[in-house]
Amino acid sequence: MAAMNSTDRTNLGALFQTDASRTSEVLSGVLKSDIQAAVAAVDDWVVANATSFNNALPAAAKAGLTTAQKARLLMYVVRKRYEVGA
Amino acid sequence: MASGDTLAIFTPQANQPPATNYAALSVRNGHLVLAFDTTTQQTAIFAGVMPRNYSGGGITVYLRWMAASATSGTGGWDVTFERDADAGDDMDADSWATAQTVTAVTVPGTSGVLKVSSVAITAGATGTDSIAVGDGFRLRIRRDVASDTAAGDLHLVDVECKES
Repeated sequence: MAAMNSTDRTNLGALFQTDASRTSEVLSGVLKSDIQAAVAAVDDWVVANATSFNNALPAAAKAGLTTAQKARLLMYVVRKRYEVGA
Repeated sequence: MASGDTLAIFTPQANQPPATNYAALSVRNGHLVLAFDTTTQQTAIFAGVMPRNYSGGGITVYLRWMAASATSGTGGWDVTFERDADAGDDMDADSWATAQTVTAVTVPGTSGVLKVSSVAITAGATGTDSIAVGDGFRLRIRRDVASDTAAGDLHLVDVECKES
């Protein structure tokens, strides 16, 4: 799995900030450059741990789900665990 | 002598936005604001008529704003006048003077606390675009996304133009 290109990373960082701003959610102690660095770090982490994630899936899901479906499943789980107020 | 006189006050609902990359209206706890993105440079444009008490001097533009999310970093802007005089510029095209930088300043430590920043603009072609009494004019506000560092949107609350 390749990392996102710089444009995608920049756009994702912008989206994250826009979402926070829409609800006036505080982003404490970070600059926009820090947000972009965090996006890059998370993306790198995903690349480095993609195989580990895939191996953690039960056999049926590991064999049956597409890569995109596995990614979406990961997104759903992470979002549910850490959504605001959860 | 009109030094110190307030010449114009603009609030978000007076914005005449450009076709693209405009600052969007938003409401924050009932306060109408214009939201300026942190990465894409967005613009607000206000139009007015220079009042009769203006004596042709420099104009100081005050921006009142707050950070949408940030509690650290800086917020910066630039402001630009355009004179729309009798038998003057073709209104079908923009004719902005030189953009004047409102130096980026540290955002308040609490998101939602107002900050006022300003720039004193010299009278003349590059500054006030030589706006004279009774002229129409426009004022363009842009966030200085290339040099400020605050994460998230900046919310513009209002703008005051005062004769310096």
